[in-house]
This record gives sequence, structure tokens and C-alpha cells, in this order.
Amino acid sequence: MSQKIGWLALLALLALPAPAWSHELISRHGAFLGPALHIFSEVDHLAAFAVVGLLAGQNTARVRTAGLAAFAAALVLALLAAQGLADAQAFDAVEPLLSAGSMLVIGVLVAIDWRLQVWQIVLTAAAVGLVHGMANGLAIAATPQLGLSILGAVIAACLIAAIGTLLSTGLQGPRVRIAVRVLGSWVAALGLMLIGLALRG
Amino acid sequence: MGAPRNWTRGTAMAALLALAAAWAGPTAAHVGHGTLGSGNFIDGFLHPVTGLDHLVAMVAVGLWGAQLRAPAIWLLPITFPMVMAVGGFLGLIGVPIPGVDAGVALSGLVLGMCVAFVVRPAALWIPAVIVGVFGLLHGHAHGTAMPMSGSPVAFGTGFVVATGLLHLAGILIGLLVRWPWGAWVVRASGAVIALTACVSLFAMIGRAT
Repeated sequence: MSQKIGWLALLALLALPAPAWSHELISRHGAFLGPALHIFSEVDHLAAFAVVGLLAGQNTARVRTAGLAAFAAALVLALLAAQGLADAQAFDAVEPLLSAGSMLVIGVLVAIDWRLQVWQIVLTAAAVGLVHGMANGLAIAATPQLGLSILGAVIAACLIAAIGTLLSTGLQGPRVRIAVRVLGSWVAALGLMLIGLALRG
Repeated sequence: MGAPRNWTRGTAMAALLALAAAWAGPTAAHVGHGTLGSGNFIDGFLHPVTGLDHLVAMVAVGLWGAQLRAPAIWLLPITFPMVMAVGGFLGLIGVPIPGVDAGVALSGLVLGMCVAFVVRPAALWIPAVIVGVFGLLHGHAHGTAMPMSGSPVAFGTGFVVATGLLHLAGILIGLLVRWPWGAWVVRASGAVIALTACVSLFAMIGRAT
């Protein structure tokens, strides 16, 4: 068990030098690193993936695995599906609302420490994977080395979700568990304000 | 059994650090994209910290929660950001709440008095409603202050995180209540908060008349 955690911790450490580069710079970082860095540099992607991890970590091992697997699968699927999407504008119009809405729902679930059934976490985690996979998939649709870009995005997203999971599985004491719930309430608050921003336009 | 437990705790800490570091990137990335005050993480973070009304009221929430002990001590910091966000949401979409500024100033006075006199309502919902109403007002004030230039997302993250950390500061000071002298320190802090809010209220009335 602790060996497994060790590997995850190593992954977490690799995430440490997350850079503060903006979009213009990221496009110079190539097919693999570019999309990966984009995910680390956008607060809404970061918060959504981290909170999926927090939610997964609050639940039992079976539910946790199902949720993370569903998240990763939906992400890959949506990244691929976005390449075949003809009308990107229709999705772009609703993407901020969908993204913020998923942050609100999952943030609230984490804040109230809700224990989920397998199908429930599969649905919520897959929804986040789909929305963000579509958004990132459309963003990299024009890149020549598509495979590498998708790989970069998936690895970055799963890394953030893994760090979130580690946080909430690692903090097991009754008092420190509350810290995870507070983080969830922060993400929910952010999601609600992003909905306000999206509606305001 | 002690070692694996510590190991897990250490790993969680490393994960927390990694997450914080990852956040520092995007939130700081927007600094310098516009003029000062264009709406980045730092601006959002400074809004509750440098606005004295926000600062003292948030610390008071933490102090009062600590005085009321479990479950209020953790219920307040979990529910407050979400209620505050509802206020921020209303502010963003342009729903007006009358008397927000006065309400924000009043919140420091009321919450400070509750701490100073160790007000213990009979039921948990009473402090929850009081804090909730004030949270709504504070959120509305932050929401209308939210800039549309720069990165509103980073600004929002900044003020949510700052508010949460101010609660934490209040709770940490409030933990002193386990000692008799500490309980008095906490009550005195509440009195200072109420006085500060009073000064701010009088200043506001002075400007209005």
C-alpha cells in the first residue's frame, strides 16, 4: 500500500514545477508539453480535475477506482470525439457553463462528504472528463501531432486527479478530513461564481 | 503501525504542496497582462485582506465558530464559502442587494459582539443563519468588485482562498478558548473587532451625510 502511495507521491512531486507560462508561450512547447502545460495553467481545468480526485479519495476503494477509471476513459473518448466534431461553436458557447456547473456539483459533494454509489461516481466523473476532454480536444484539433497532444493532455489531467485523490486518502484523521471538505466548498464557490461570469457574458 | 501512518500524512502534505504549486502558476501568470488592479489572483486575494470590514468579519466568523466548538467550528468554514458564492453570483449577474456596504460593516459589529459576549444560541441554525446572511452580503460586495478585464477566474480564486485562510486564522486564535486566559483573549479580540467595525460604520455614516 505504502509503495503504491510512494509512486503517486513521486508523480505529485513531478507536478511541482508547474509553470506560469501563458498561452502564447505554451504553443511553443510542442505537441506533447503544450496541451499538458495548458491544463496546469488554467484554473478551471486544475480545480475540476483536482476536485474529482478529492471526491474519489473520500469514497471506498471500489468506488474510487471506478470513478477515476470513468474519468480517464471519458476524457480520452471526448478528446478523440472532438476531432470529428464539425460545429465547434455550439460547444464553445455552452462549455463555460458546463465546466462551472460540474465544479459546483462535485465541489458540493466533496463539501458535504457524500458517499457515492459506483454508478453515481461514474456518471459525475465521466461528465467532467467529457466536458473538459471536448474543450481541450477542440483546442488541439489543428495540431499536426495529434496523438502526442492527446497523450499530454491525458497525462496532465490524470496527474492532477491523482494528486487530489492522494490528498483525500492521505488525510484520514477526523479533523484533517474537514480540510478536504473545506477545499471542496472552495471549488463549489468558484464554480458558482464562474456560472455567474458565464451568464453575465 | 506508526510509520506507515506518518508516511501517508507526509505524502498528503507533499500532494497539498504540489497542488498549491500547480495553482501558483496560472494564478500568477496573469500578472502584468494589464495595468495594476486589472484583476488577477493577487488582486482577488487582497480584496478581503485589505478591506478592513471583510478582514475583521472573517476572523470573527472563525473566532465565534471556535467558541461554539464542534460542529460549528467546522460547519461554518465549509458552508460560508458556498453561501458567499451565492452572494457573489447575484452580484455578478447584476441582482442588487440594498445596503450591502452597511451590511458588511454591520457584520463585523454583530459578529464581534457575539464573540465578545460569548453568545451561544440554543440551536445551531441560529448562528448558521446569521453568518449566512452576512456571507451573502460579503460575497455580493466581492462579486460586484470583480473585474471583467484580466482574469476574473483568478480574481475569484484569490478572494475565496483569502476568505478561507482568514477563517482559519480566526479558528486558530479561537482554539485558545481551552485555557481560561485564552478565552479572555478571544473575547477581547471580539471586542476589538466590534470597535473596528463601529469606526468603519461611523465613517460610512459621515460620508453619507
